[in-house]
Amino acid sequence: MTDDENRAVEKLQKKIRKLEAALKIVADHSGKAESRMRRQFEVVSETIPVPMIISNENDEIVFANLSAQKTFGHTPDDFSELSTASLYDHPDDRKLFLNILSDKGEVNAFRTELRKPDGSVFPAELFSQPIYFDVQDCILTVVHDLTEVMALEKQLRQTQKMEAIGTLASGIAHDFNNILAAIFGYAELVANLLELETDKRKKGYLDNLLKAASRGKSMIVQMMAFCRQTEKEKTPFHLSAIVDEVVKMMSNLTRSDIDIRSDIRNKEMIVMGDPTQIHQVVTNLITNSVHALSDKGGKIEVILEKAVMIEGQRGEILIPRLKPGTYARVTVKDDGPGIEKGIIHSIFDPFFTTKPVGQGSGMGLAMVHGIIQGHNGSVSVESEPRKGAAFHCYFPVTEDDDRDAKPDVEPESVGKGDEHILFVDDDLMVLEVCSELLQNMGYRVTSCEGSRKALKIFKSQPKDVDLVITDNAMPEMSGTALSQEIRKIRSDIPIILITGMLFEEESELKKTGFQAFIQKPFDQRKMESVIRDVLDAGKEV
Amino acid sequence: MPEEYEEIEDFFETVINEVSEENLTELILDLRALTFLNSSGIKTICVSLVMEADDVEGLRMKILCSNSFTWQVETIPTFKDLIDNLDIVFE
Repeated sequence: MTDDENRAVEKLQKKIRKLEAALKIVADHSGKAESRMRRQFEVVSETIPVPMIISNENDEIVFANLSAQKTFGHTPDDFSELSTASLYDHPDDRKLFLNILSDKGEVNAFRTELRKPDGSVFPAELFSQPIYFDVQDCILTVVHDLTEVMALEKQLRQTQKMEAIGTLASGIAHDFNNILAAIFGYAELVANLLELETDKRKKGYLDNLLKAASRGKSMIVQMMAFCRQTEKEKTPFHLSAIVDEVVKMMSNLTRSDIDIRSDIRNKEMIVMGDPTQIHQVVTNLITNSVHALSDKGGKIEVILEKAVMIEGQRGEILIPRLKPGTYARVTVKDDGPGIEKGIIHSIFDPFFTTKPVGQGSGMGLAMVHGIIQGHNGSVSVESEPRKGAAFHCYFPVTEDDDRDAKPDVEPESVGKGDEHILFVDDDLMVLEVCSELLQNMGYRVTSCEGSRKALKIFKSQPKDVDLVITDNAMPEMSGTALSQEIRKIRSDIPIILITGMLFEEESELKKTGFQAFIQKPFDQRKMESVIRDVLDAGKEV
Repeated sequence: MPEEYEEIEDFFETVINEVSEENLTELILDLRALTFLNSSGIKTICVSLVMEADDVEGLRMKILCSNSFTWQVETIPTFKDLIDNLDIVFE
């Protein structure tokens, strides 16, 4: 070989070595890039809490991330033996999904229902794009599980419905209170005019009238409990004592083929609230269960236990949703026929009942809901036809010590008086009947249907008035505002609020300057008693 | 994929021809803003630019790189196997 040929060979050999080196560089680069991207894909797919599935053109699942394994309850091996179509509850949905993907090149928010191995079905939205994965053309599908979203939507709708019904019921209760106040007042005025011996028949009619009015009053009390308008001063008490008491009472009142048992798993829990109302909640729930078991008998269990709610906790749908914290949970469950799926979302609505006409007011569960909500708690129900029903009531647990609850004492008949009372109410019927009742008690009464007019009267003769009784909800000026104006003129004047609705607790009302309040509708004795107490207290000072 | 780099290969050929004709002594390749390069791109730089630059008498090549991009940190230093006169500057 010549020198030139040798140089050419040497140059070619050098070129080949360099090409080999270049090939190695490219291969190393590709290998590193590929493993890095694969790792990134693995980290992302295993970290995101969203199910991801990759399927090939033969509908075989070639990859399912950790979230998909959890959501569907399949292992990676299970997935490799499944077809994508088998995850759909409706096979036609898969065909539609593939058509959209083929037409548009991607799928966005495709709503469907997917199936788990246990046969349960959950709502989902699918997002999908073609992808080249493990040397084949595939489809990447991201699954958005809508179970919780739909549960929250349902909860929100239910809460809004209950709020709207509450507002409506509260308005009706307010107007009814005024009507009932007039009925009670006039009936008592007529009763006062009757001679006990000679007017026995008329007295009987009046008694029936008052009984009917009392039933109306009781209905209003239930409606107001639903609207959370009857808040009394809350006291701490042991919930176990209430549960125990109600179970004993209901056991005694219920026929023997219905077995009512309590299971107190935590005896020490104290809740803040009105024990009478909680008593009512447990009684109503047991009464419903007793009714459910009336055909065949059965078992009712009342369980009291501690429940801890944590942030973002999934689970049963609670109305309203609870804040994280510790709760006392009272569960009333029976093994009766259960609640039909179609009506389960209406059972807390006022006046909703499955009982025959005349056998149920439909206020029982509405009251339960209202009372529990008034205690910052929540209620949920779980039931399936023929498998019984369970109501779970949650009450926030407090650390405060138990105190002896002050029982409501029926007022005794008290002495009458001759003081001068300025009586203010914008409802003419209430104004008229109350003025007359007060006059019958011996008081001198100036009645006034407007708050501004009442203020004018008081200004003109502040020393002449011994007591002001005023309504709260009045168009010109509220009773609270009127009392503040009157106090500016004479700070020591006692003022009683007469109201159909309680917007604040008793202690709150007193802060605004009222000495006492009379709840509409009221009876003569109650009115007499409150007025006398306030006037006598003023004299003692 | 490789055909996408034909334009760049032609450009590199023009660069090498001009460097040779003008007897230039330094060729700078600035990759600092190149966030990603696939294997075809690496092959194009290696074969059409770096190896060709090595054949030009008296030419020194400099590659400006960025520490921010993993592919540059991992792959560019291996270009030294293709050319004797190479400076790699990372910023």
